[in-house]
Parts: sequence; C-alpha cells; structure tokens
Amino acid sequence: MASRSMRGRKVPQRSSALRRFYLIFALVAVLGAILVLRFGVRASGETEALVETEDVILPLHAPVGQTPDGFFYKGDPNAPVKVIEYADFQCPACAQVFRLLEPIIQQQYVETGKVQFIFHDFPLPMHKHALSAAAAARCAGDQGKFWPMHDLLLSRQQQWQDDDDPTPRFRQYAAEIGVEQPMFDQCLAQGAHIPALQAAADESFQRGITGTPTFVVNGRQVTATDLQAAIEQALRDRER
Amino acid sequence: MQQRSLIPRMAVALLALLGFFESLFLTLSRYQQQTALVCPFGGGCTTVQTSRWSSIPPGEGIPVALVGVGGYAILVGIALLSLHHSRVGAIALPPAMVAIASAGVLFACYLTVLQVFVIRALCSWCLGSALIMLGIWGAALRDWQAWRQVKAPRRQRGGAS
Repeated sequence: MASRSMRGRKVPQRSSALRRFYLIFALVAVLGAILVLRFGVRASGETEALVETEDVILPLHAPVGQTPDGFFYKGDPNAPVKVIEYADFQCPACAQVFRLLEPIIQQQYVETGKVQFIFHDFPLPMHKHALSAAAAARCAGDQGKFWPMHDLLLSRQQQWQDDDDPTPRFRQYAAEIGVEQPMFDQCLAQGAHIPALQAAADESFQRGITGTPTFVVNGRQVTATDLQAAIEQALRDRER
Repeated sequence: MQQRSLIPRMAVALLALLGFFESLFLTLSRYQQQTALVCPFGGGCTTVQTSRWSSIPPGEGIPVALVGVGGYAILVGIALLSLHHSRVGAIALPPAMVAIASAGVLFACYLTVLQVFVIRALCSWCLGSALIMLGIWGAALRDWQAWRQVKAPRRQRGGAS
C-alpha cells in the first residue's frame, strides 16, 4: 500500500520535474543561441568596418634594417630591449595586434630608442597565402619598403586572405608604396625568398613557438596581452 | 519499482548544452578568422586558437572546437534520450554516456597538457570546456552507478523467480 501511494506521488513529481527541466533547458538553449549569434557573428561586421576605415601605414622614423639572419627590424639595434615578433601575415590575431598594439609599441618604445622590434616570419601551414604574403613583404623589403608593405598586408588582410591568387593585390599594394614593379614581379616569380621563409618557419617550430603572434622580449616568451608589461619589466631590469 | 534520480542526467544535458555553445562560438571565431579571440581570463586564447595544435591532426586538420561541437551535441542527445529510456536498441544509455564523457575527459586532459607544456599558453575558454566535461563525467558516472543499483535487484528478482 505504502509503495503504491509513494508511486502515486512520485510519477507526477517526476513529470513536473521534467517539465521544469525542459523549460530551463529551452531557456538556456535560446540564451546560448542569442549569445553565440551576437558575439560569434558580430566580429565579422566590426572587423570589416575596421578594414575599410583603418588603412594603416604606421609613420616610421626609427632606424630600419635586417638582422644578420635576414629578418627585418625597426628601432635602434643597440636599444636596451629586443622584441622579436613571430608572426604570420594571414593570422587574424596578428592583424588585430597590428591594429591595436603595434602603434603603441612603435610610438612609445621603437621611436624613442628603447626597443629594437624584429619581425620573425613564421608562415603557418594552415594559412594558404601566408608564405606568398611573407615573400611579397620581403620582395618589397629588397627595395627598402618592408615595413610599409608589412603594414598594408596586415591592415588589409581581409581583402586578400580569401583570394584564389592574391598576387595581383600584392602588386597593387607594392605600387601604392612606390616599389618598382618589374623587380618586385621578378622577385615574386622567382620565389627568391621562399627557402629562407620556410627555414624561418622550421626554426620557429624548433624553438617551441607554436602559435602566432608570439613575442620574445629579451629572451622571455610572452603573448600579446603581456607584451607591454614585459617591455616595461625589461626596461626596469636594464636600469638596475 | 525503484527509480533512479533524474538530476544527474539533467545535469549532463545542461552542461553539455553549455559546452556545445562554447565550442560553437570557438568554431565560428576560428572559421571567420576575423579577430583575436578575447580571453575571459588571462590572454593565451589567440595563441592557443591559432597554434597548429588547434586542429586534428595538427596543422591542417579538423578544428578541435568543431570536434567539441560534435561531442557535446552527441552528449546532449544521449542525456535527453536517457531521461525517458534506459536503452536504445541494444545500447544501454547510462554506460554509453559514461564512455563518451570519459573519452571527452581524456581529450580535455590531452589538450590541457598541450597548452601547459607545448604551446605554453593557457586558453580560459578551453579550460572552461575541460571543467564542463569533467562535470559531465562526474554526473554521468553517478547516473551509471544508480542505474546499476536499480538493475541489480531486478536481476536478483529475476533469478529467484
């Protein structure tokens, strides 16, 4: 008798518990879908707006050049802090860091002689045009225009990343910054810098760099979020 | 007749739904390749998300986040089914749920080890997903134990008759 009455009470309890659960489940599902649509898809429109409005070539007055192993740098080679950026021109985070962080780093540290900023190519195999974009930057670099090309490639990444063949756009960018076309075309066609870039990628993997952008500040590996704090720390360490 | 509690199965369904949306967000963010991934805590999300280890096989395979979307969707489905049925055909749902959750926990451990020792950056989205999977595993294990306890007296009764 007792079990029957218990059973009689339990069944409605279970069905009302299930009803409550499905209500909560549906609420979570709707809320989750709204949040994913809001934040997952919102990024697209915002970034496109950024690309259209922020066509950036950072003003650069600091010394520029190439390290003995062929990487381009900006800033005093004898600066107290050396920052190496391992980056890929097609990496979206690299483009974002370029837009948001690089102007600050350049203005506050590179132009003031505190930082030598070295761009270490790390074209990732998952990005189909990373290698050709890096080659285009180096071909422009052969004519002393690495940094303007670097800036255009990153600030206009959205324009070329989905192209079947991005070369015409690279040629157009090169023309905009005053690179001599026949030499640039020849450099790209010959793939003059491809072996060095592939070696740079292999070297990055061997050093344990597995993502881009990764920064090394006076030998200490940090992410973009910690870059400015790491530079400040390195400057304080040098003052002691 | 003794019935096992619904709460662990409900917990699995809700946690798996949260995991599903989190993985979906990470997958969208990766495929759109629009912007740096903002970390809720710390700052290693973009490093992890753009590393070669964020796909299976490493480099050019399926994004890990997409694997998560599939895994969590399966868990949501099984948990919802198990609220009304203990079996689907020959498959007993409680052990199936534990098996999938165990695979999920092992996978989450592998990814966490990669973050700490190989990539050397922590992604709080990924750690959050690992915690969700651990919660699912705990709830699924509890449901499986309750299912076994309910099943055992039935077997004994069946043996005596």
